Amino acid sequence: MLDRKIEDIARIVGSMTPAAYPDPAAFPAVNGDLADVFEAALNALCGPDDDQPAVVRVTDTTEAIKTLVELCADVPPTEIIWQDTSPGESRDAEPVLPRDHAIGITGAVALIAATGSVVLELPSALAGRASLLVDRHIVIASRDQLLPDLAALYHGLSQRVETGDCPPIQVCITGCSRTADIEKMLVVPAHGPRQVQVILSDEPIDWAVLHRGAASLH
Amino acid sequence: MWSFEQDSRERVADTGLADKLHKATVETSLKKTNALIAKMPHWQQLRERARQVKLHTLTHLDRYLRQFVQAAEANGATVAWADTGADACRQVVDIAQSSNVKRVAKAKSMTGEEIEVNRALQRAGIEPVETDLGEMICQLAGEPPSHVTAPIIQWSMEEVARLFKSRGIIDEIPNGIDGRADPAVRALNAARLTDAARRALREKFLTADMGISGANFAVAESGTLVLVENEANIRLSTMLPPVHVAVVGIDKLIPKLADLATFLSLLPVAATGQQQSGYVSLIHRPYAKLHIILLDNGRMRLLADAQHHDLLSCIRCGACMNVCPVYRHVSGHGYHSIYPGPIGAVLTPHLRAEEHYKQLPFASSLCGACAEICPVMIPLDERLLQWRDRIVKAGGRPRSEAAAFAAWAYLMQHPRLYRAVRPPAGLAHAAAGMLGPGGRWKATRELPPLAAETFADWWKKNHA
Ligand code: SF4
Repeated sequence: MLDRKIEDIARIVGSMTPAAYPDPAAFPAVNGDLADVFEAALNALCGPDDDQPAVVRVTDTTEAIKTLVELCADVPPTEIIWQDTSPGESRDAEPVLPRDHAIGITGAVALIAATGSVVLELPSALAGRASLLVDRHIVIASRDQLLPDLAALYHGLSQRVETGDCPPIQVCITGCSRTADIEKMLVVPAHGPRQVQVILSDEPIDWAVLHRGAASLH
Repeated sequence: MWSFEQDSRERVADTGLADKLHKATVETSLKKTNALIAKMPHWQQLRERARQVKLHTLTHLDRYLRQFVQAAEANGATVAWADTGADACRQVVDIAQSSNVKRVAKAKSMTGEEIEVNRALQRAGIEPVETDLGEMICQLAGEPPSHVTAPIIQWSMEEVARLFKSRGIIDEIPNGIDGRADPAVRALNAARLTDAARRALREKFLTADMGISGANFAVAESGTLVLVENEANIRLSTMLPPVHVAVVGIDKLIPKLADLATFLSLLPVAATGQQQSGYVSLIHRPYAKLHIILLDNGRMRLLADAQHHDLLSCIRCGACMNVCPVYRHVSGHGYHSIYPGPIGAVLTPHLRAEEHYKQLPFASSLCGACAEICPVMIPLDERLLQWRDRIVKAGGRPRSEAAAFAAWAYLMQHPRLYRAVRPPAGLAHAAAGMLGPGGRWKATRELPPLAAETFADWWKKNHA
């Protein structure tokens, strides 16, 4: 059936004048320090009731742990859900029924400076919950993960197709979950997190150290 | 036969409707869209590239479909074909029944609306739950969405609250929701209503056995489905349930993931005036059982239309609706089609066989605002005009109208004759209200007040 239909389409297409595939579009250069650009873009997306900064800058993993513990103060560990031990690796194979948590903690595979976006790769359905079924989503990421714009992200992804290592699911998250369906009034949250916070470290994050240091949050 | 002209008279008389639509489009979405475009020096270049990518894909659609199917199957998805909406619905119901599905979480999808999949599921005893806030409200009210990205664009907060109360989603209608209430109180109430909907839907998400979505893009090189949203309900619908069915029009194909840089820089700006939407999900290797149903439903016929095949490049941003003065007076419901506004007016008569849809290409002032904003540069005004030409040539308009226009054209080309037969302006005005086609034309329009003398006389007096 599918093959036959595609052949029918081939016949239609055969009588059309073929249009050429265009060159990539040139995106304007992103000026300034990417971390600053990212911070400004994400801050601009804060919900009306955000009481905390969207981006917290730290120097290294030790400081990231300190900040993370502070941000999670007063929240019992049972109300905290982690995406996994390190980005790209599933921590929990057990099927656990989904439920809401107060805080979800994830890493990121990239940050997009121009749009203030956080890019996650989700190896399993379980991994997706920490950025979805939570009130607050805390992302721990580092400067070396910053990309200037969406062009860098998607051009890079195209290159990965050739080597066969596309992530099973990738989600590019830009700010909190929101809706403006009722009279175009902005409401936060809709179905997902009320807030996205990024702990942005100058040095790359050592996830083994971070998990040990943040053991109280597990 | 349903008549656009008759039907819109009531809607046009409802000035409240025009007010609401004006506020939601000109004063909100469009303002944000235009402000962002002003800051994008590459906007025109992106539009041109997007158009070229789409035209390239359409003129090589067999190749890209084959590539997509191969890649998606290699990723673990099951790919099927549906000739018609009914065919697609049958397949969706079959999949649901074979997986013993009782409840379906539905991500907002225009394709889902097009094929009326909810009705098919209900008939099979399966509960479809719309999970986008606007679509949920449409479903509760038993009303179709009236805009492709803002389904309840003409609903007031008061109406939403009343509906929620009647369905037990809230206990009391809160104070301070009407248009005159304090904006801060209203904002709080909008949040309350949204929260109530979130709670009501949460349980449904967690217990749904299947999710149904469309796709904004289907990427040929990798077999990836791309879903764009702000609420996170699409993520919930497609990632929590064990089965995911995506009904994807064959017009959604794009060649490469790299092309998303172009399309995702255009779509959110045109649709909602956002630099980027809240969530862009790329489903490559699904963890749920994924069924992709590729939908024809009239698209192949349109592909074969040498003049109009570029209508298949529409990315359903809704911007042409926002800028359209006709849309803003009759609303999406005025078109009686799931695709309203300028794109709906040219697309619907291609996709639907009913004769009455041939009225829609006439529901335009041909101002061209739609073509100017369209992020994929579809020359909508030209397409509208071509439709009119086709319909008139096929004898689809009254003979008297054709005769009147022919006479007019002749007069305009013969100025001496024109001056000789030109009646005094006041008389022409009165006559326009009485003569056959003139009367029909005037019935839906108001003529401007007349000047005391003709322009030609004025010119002679002042410039001769
Ligand atoms: S025709 Fe253009 S402007 Fe209208 S919905 Fe489609 S892409 Fe948007």
